[in-house]
Amino acid sequence: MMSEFEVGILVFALVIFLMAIGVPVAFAFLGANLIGAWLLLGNLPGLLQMVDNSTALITNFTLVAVPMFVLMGSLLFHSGLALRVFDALDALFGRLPARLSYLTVAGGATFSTLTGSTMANTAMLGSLMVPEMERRGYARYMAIGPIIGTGGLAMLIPPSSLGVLLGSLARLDIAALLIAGLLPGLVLAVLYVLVIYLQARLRPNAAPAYDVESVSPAVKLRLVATNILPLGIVIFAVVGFIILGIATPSEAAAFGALSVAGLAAARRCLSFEACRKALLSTVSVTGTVFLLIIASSVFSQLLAFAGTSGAVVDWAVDLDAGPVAKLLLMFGVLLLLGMFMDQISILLLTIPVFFPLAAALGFDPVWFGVVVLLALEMSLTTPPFGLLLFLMLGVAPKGTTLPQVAFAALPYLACDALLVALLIAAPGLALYLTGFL
Amino acid sequence: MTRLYDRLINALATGAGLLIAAVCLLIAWDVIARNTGLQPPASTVALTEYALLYFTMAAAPWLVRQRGHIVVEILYQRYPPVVRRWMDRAILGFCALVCVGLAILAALLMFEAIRLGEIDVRSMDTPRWMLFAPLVIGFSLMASEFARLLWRGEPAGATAAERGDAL
Repeated sequence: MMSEFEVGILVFALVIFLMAIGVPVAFAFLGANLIGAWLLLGNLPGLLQMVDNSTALITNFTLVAVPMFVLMGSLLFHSGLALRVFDALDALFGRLPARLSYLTVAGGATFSTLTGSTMANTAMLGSLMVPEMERRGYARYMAIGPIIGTGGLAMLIPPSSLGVLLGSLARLDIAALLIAGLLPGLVLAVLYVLVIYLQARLRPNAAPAYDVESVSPAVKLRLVATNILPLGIVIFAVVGFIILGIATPSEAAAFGALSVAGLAAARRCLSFEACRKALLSTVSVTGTVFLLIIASSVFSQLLAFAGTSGAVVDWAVDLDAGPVAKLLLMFGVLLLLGMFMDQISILLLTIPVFFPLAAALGFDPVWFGVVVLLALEMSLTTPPFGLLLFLMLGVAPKGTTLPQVAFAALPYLACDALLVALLIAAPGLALYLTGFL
Repeated sequence: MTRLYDRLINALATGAGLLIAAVCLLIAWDVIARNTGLQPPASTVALTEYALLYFTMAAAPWLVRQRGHIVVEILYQRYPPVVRRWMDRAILGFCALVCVGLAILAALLMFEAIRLGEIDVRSMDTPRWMLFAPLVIGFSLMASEFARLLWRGEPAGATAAERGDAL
């Protein structure tokens, strides 16, 4: 007869096994839950309780921010507003060396603020910028690196869909978590700019300067006024509404989606087709994530009921190592999981153990949430299975290899690591703005 | 009959999209009303919470059909074609069984809630069976979609990188 603890370990191992052999993640959780509940409770009422509990987490108002942010980003892309921002930024950069790499970071940071979707950002920047950079004779690492780097900014810079999800699952203050990601995200964007500057200085041929059509200051002003500034309304509708206390993060997300729709309508680019595609994309992305939440909520409860998560936390707390070493250990586990697993699955697996452990070690939960988001961002870029690497391979020119993409991403991974060190040394970097809430 | 069933799956996905649009408008109206001194609807939170569950269950069968659910690629992409074909069958069969099991359990809960006249207490009280009805329909349709993929010899899932959409 297995002890409850052993059943917990078995359920955990079963999820990993089912995922590894290719069972869709949500159904790996659901199947393991059924088996785990039967082993733990051994009767029909136990199984019924499991199904009963599965609706608890999904019927949670805070989660509505996820489809709203996805809808907001999708509308931005499908209406063509995102492309207009890029055109305006393009005109602003003039004849700067490595201008296209800088443009990628600026565009990526802007889109991150407006969409909160890493994959959508990377896909768009990749398909938009890589062909142009190739045409202008940029070295591959100068083209691919900034795109991979800035794609990940979406996780940190609010609104971050993954941030909302993490906040809901780990029961954090979502407004605080979203705002806490802002400064670290901006610092990261600045670090990326420094990387490009250094790379362009060290090897000027890697990003050759070229003649661009000169644009008069008046035209630049007009482009900024018509294509970039109006998006301030969207940012205000989300971040401003949260900070001013007009709306909760979930409500502000709805205003974000509506403000993008309003802007697109004002620019006469809100077609029926754009709305249809945006809604379909929202159904696809959010539907996948929400089924995972239903599946995983019972998983966390089973681990807690079996005492597995508590035992792991106790074991880790008793380890003969300092809190920072334990933090780095958790960070390492997240990176390791990220080599072969998507971000949501990682969150679902680790939240039941890592957040109680972080609390036991005395870490601020919001600060720890930012560190986790950063780890997830890095894990997207870790070879051999980082999702962004594969997405990039899909949009990169023919003949680009995975090692080339991974090599291009290295300096940006180093920036992420530097930011982690900064966050450990100065937690205020994440927590300072939350004081204004 | 098949066309009617296909239409049902597509209609549910369309309904899921429209539900999200409706929730967006409802929340906006609630916030505007609250901040302008008007009377906000009393049941926005409860309606939204139910909408999230109904949305998920309406979208899920369509996502199975689109092979939209996330698959981890650690081994799946490395199977030789013959092994992959057999693994696909085993995986689809497993998923269909899990969904059938969950649909039956949800149905038992639903009938019990109806029998006892249970109420789900939120900002708007609703009969508790309404929490389980979407699970019964959703998991039944997912089981049928997995069985359909199995019958047609189609692969079990696409990786997130193949789908190109994730958070």
